[in-house]
Amino acid sequence: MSGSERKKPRSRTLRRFYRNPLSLLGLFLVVVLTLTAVLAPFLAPKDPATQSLFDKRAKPFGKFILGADQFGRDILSRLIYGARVSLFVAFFSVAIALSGGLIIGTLCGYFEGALDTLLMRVMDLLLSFPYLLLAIALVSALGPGLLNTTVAIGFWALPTFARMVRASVLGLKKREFITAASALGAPAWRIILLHIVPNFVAPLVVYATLFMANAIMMEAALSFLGLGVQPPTPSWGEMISSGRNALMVAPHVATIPGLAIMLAVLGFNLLGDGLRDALDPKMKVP
Amino acid sequence: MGVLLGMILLVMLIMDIIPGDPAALMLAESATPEMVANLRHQLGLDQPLYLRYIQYLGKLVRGDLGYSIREMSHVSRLIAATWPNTLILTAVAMCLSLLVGLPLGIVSAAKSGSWLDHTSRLVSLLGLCMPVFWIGLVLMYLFSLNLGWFPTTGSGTLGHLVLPAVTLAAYSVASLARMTRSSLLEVLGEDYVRTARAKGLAYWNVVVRHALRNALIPIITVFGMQVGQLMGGAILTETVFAWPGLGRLMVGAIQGRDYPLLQGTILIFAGAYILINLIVDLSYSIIDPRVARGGKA
Repeated sequence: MSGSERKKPRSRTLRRFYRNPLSLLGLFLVVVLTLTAVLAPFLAPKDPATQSLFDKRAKPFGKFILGADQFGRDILSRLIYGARVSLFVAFFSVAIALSGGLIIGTLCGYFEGALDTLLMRVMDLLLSFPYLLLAIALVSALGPGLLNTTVAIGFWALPTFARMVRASVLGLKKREFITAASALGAPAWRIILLHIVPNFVAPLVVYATLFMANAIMMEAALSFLGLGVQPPTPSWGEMISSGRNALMVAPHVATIPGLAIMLAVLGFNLLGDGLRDALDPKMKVP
Repeated sequence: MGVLLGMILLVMLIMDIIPGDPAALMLAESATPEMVANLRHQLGLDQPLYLRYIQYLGKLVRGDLGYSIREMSHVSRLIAATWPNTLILTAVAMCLSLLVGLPLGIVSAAKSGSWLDHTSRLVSLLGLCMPVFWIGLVLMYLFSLNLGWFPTTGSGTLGHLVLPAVTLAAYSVASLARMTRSSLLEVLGEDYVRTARAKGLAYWNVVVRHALRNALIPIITVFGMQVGQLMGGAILTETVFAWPGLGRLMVGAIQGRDYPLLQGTILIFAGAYILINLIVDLSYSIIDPRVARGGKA
């Protein structure tokens, strides 16, 4: 056995991750995005809300690095503050979906029975809405805004997480070490928390990362339709939408925020794929 | 069928949690309480949810989806006027994604490691990360505003269809190419592929006739899921290009707080999605006879 074989599995996983340039690119993009969001007040060259009609739709590389929008607001600063919105929605919608999915999934998988049938039927129902439609319905009911958008996106993702958790729990429940634990008299909550949940954290983390990409895309789409984050809060989707009307005279207003969305989504996708390949290449993620 | 009934109930429940009285929202602010109460009664909003649910179902089987006050027309009539446009748009986008995505994935897998493979993987990865509405705007800027090849918005001629269809297809092309590649690569490693090659069959013959057929099941599954993506994408694409379809009708209904119309459009989209998924499930048995015989795919 060579030296590397005897190393701890964790360091092997890390090495697999670091060897893949695409995973590193993903990690880099996500770190940059996070730092941008956190340090927005220090990074933004101007106030994102200050209007100046003299600089209306100013071209890039002049007074404003990336130009100005139809109210003369600095696009770069709005992009930087927009990262906060994207990341907020991505993070908290995943938190909602993850915690809800974890609770529903383990309850259904571990106890089965009538509760399982009922809850899974509801989840199937939620999953049978085409993409974007459930979120649109929820946001139009809850009303637009940052928080409601986050809730709607989290709710939209919840069934997938719940199903995934349930399938893992069902599979793990039949394994010998669980039987052993319950034969030793461990209560259900202890078995679930200490023996079952840690065994499917890896695919869950991978899926949560990949889902953040989806959430960013979804927030942009909802804001583009005018259902998500409302102006004057700078959101990338809303910025594209407001730049639409001046596509001919000032194409940079609508196109630059799209590049930001693309890089953010790319970052989370690459990071998720990289984590999956590093943790377990055969892992199945929906 | 059960799914559809549940879905109608769910949509009604969601519409029910809308804060504020829909009747009061529809009328002008100067409306008297009597006028609001009157409209509530006309819309049947003064009845409990279960009664409204049964009434709605009863009307639904007769093809009545309610009345849109904002558009001054029956919801079913509005939907009937717009759904063919959405169908054309999504169908063309679907064909495009099959015609481009599938060959792209096949070539990528068959020539895996070549520059062709790398380019196609890069393009499809980027395709997955671009927002639909943004692709639409970029295409509009390049091909209609600058080059003038296609009209910017509206519908009617074939030229109007090109940009929306390409926009809508982009995501599906990318994800279909990726799925085809990975599914085909897996099959290409199987023993029977090696046997077929050892018999002296031409490489492309083996790829297309032996391997592709066995790789199709996951591809079809992804394609079925793509239909849902396409519907959501259609809502965005129609908004960008002012394409007079269901999606634009729906966005208008949300902005105008036109709840009967919103409910109707959501149900039509969801119903169509269920139907298409049923067709996808049925197609498994045609593609893979093992499914029809009750074996596992």
